[in-house]
Order: sequence, then structure tokens, then C-alpha cells
Amino acid sequence: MKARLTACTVGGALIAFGLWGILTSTDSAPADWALWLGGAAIVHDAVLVPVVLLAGALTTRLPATWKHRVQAALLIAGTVTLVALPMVLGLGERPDNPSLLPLPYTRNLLLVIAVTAALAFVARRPRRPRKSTGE
Amino acid sequence: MVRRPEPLTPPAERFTSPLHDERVAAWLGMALGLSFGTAFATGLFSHFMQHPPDWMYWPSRPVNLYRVTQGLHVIGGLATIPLLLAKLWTVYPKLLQWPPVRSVGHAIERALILLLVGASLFQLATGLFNIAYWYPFPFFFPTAHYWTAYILMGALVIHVANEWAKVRRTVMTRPEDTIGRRRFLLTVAAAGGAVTVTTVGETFTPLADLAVLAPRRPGVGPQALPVNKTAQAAGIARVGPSWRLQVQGPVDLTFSLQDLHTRFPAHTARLPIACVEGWSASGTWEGVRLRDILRTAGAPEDARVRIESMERGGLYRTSWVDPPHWHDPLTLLALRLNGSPLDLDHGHPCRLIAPNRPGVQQTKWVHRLVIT
Repeated sequence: MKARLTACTVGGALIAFGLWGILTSTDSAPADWALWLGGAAIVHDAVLVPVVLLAGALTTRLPATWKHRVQAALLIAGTVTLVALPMVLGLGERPDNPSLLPLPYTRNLLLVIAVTAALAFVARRPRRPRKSTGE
Repeated sequence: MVRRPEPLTPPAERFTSPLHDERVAAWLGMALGLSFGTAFATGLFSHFMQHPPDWMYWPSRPVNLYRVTQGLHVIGGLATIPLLLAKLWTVYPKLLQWPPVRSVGHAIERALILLLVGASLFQLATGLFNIAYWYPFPFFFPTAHYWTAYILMGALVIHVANEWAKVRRTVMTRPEDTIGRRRFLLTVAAAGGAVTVTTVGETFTPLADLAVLAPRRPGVGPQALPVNKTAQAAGIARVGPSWRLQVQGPVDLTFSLQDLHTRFPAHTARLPIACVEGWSASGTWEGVRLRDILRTAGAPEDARVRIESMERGGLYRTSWVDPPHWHDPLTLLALRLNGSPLDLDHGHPCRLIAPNRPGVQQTKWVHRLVIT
């Protein structure tokens, strides 16, 4: 209990310090900052997760041989796509600086997805999980 | 009797996957705690390297220290994205718990969770946008990312304290069921691995060819080195023979480019540009030692030196060099890179290059040294 109280005090102080910094900095645009922080949570909870749940609901009906590898491939390819998206869209490109975002990102992402799919296809079928010993 | 970790929420009937359970959440949570802890430590390191308090000097060695810590911050941060998304998916049923609030304490706990989730997503998203040089938000990225880190850490400390007993119980107990947790956790790890493998080459050069999704590629740029701010972006036109290096100190001095070549011994150093955006690449720099110039101007041993660029404005027009860095024999005013005179985009005619120093402080287009 004492440790928990200490943690809550330290944590609360850190939160207060961070909020103070956001509110007192000249270039932090606190209202927009709050909008982005809350917006990130809303986009995640109301858009991204429902899409993932839908993908889960669809793939869970696949035959057992395929279900897990399809789901694994989707998880890996999906997260890699999210990370690569700003590069693929190239919104940060600047005409004066060709050393910035210099690669063909769309092609590369498709390549990574293809490799992921191929690995999932050839992956060894997982061993059957151990039978439950209790009952 | 089957011992089985608690499912996360009553009622969970709508979430058919058995992976929405405490044990999965506990393992992912521990990994996330480690990731965010590392990002916080390396992030503070980077912040205070760029904004040191008055009483503090950073060492100039190890040469690659900042390169490693900032690479860890950025590539580790990218690999955290699958981890965070998996964790939030696992505990998603808790978002829909009913009734939403049971007591005042519960309301505070849930508000803190919202802060934790929002801050985590905010840090990873803005960090990702920053390394892609995309700024769709009105706040200044370093300011927002820095202060939000404290909020995230504070909410995380409280969350860990609240969940500690549960995590301990579920991790210490061997489950006797057939839920494929290990397969799920390994898949999440593979996703983090895939992100790492396709990006880490932008700072770990041996894997450069695999960095197919990284925003930078070592070896791509003028003189085979990437550029952060071009001469055009800095408002620098071609520099002619009228260029002079002014040194203001106990003895005021002025050197032409020819003077620098003839009056000081030439030295070569193999040093990286280690950018705050996480990429890094080494170059072979030739030039004169900063300490040779400063001693000629009578600089006291404990002097701090302000390096001024020809840039008209910008946050990084000047940088400070503290004694450990200017005494270091590797610290050069570089005149050549990889065998030819500096490209204008690399700071022609003269730039600072020093070991263990963020790229934004390797001032380009130098024209004045002020000894204080």
C-alpha cells in the first residue's frame, strides 16, 4: 500500500510537470495538443480496433490449417504497413533534398508484404497444443 | 480443476478470442514498460544533450554514444508500435465495461488510463511523423514530444502500481489451458522484428540494404552522405573567395580558406552524422582541429565556444562547444568530406564535426567562432 501511494505521488507529479510544460511553452499549442492526444485515442478505439476485430471475425472462420497463419500474416503486414505509411505517402518530401525519403516505398512495402505472406504460407504447421491436464 | 487466468471483462461473450486475457496483457504490458522506459531514458539523454543545464558538460567520448542512444530511441520506438497496438487490442473489452464507472476511484483510474492510452498513441504517432518529416500538427514537435513524455511516464507509473499484483499473480502461475498465447506473443514479436529489420539499417550501416522502409539510406546524398537541411532551405547561396572565418576571443583573428589550409596541420577523422531523427552515417572528414585554432586565438582551457553559421535564422544557426568537445583531437572544422571539398549542402566551405554530438549541433556554413 505504501509503495502504491509512493507510485501514485511520483506519477501524479510527473503528469502535473508534463501538463505544466505543455501549458506554459510558447510553441506547444495546448488546445491542438489536447485535440491530437484525444483524437489519437478516438481514432484508435473507434476506427482501427473495429477494423481489426472485423478482420478477426472474418478469418476466424477459416479452416484450422489456415486460420493462424493468415491471422499472423495480417498482423505483421498490417502493423508494418501502418509504420511505413508516412514514407509511402511521401508527404514529407522536399524538392531541394533528394536524400530525404529516397526509396521507392510503395514497391518496397508490397515486397515486404509479399515476403510475409510467403513465409506464412511455408511456415511449419504449429504442433498441437498440449492437452489440458486438469479438469 | 482448470487453473486459468481471468478473462478481462465480464461480460466478454462478444469477444470470442480467448487472447483477451490477463496473462497476455501482463506479458505485453511488461514488454511495453521496458520499451517506454528505454524511450524515456534515451529521449531525456537527447534532450539534455541539446539543452544542457549550465553546470553540466557532456563527454566527447564514446564517439558513437549519441548515435547508439538515438538509434535505440527511434528504431525501438518504431518496434513499439506493434507492441502497443497488440496490448490495446488485448484489453479492448475493458473499454466497453458496464457500468462504465463504478465509483469515484474507478472514474479517476479510467481517466488516467485514457491519458495513458492517448499519450502513448500520441508519442508513437508524432515520433513516426517526425522521422518522415511530415508535420500536419500546429505544435512544435520537440516541445510537444518532450512534455508529453513526462505525462506518459507519470500515467505509466500509476498504471504499473495499480496492476502490479495482478501481473505478478498471472505471470507466476502456470496456466493449465490450451490457449495459444505463446503463438500470439511470438507473432507480435515478429511484427516488431519486421519493423526493426526494415528500418534499423538507416543507422546500423551493415544492414543498410535491408532498410527498405526507412526514411534515410546511408550512402544516399551529396558525397554519399544524407543531408538534413540543404543550403537552399537555409538560404545560403554559393560562397565565394571573399569568405573569411572570424575568431573573436582574447586575440581576434581572421582566416581565409587558404589560411586554414596552410597555417594549420591537416587532420582526418572518421565520424558519424547522428541525427535526432534516428538515422546516422559515417563520413571521412578532413580539416583542421578546432583546438588548434582556438589556442592560436588564446582561448583559456575552460572556455565555451559559440559556433556561428552564415544562416540568417533558424533554431540551429549557432551551437555551443564545451571544453571536453573542443579539446578532443577528433573535433574538426571540416573542409573536405569523403575525398572532395565539402558540398554546399554539407556546409561548404567549413563545418563543425565532433564526436558524440547530435547532428543539428554539427553547425554548417561556419563563419564565426566566439570564445567566451
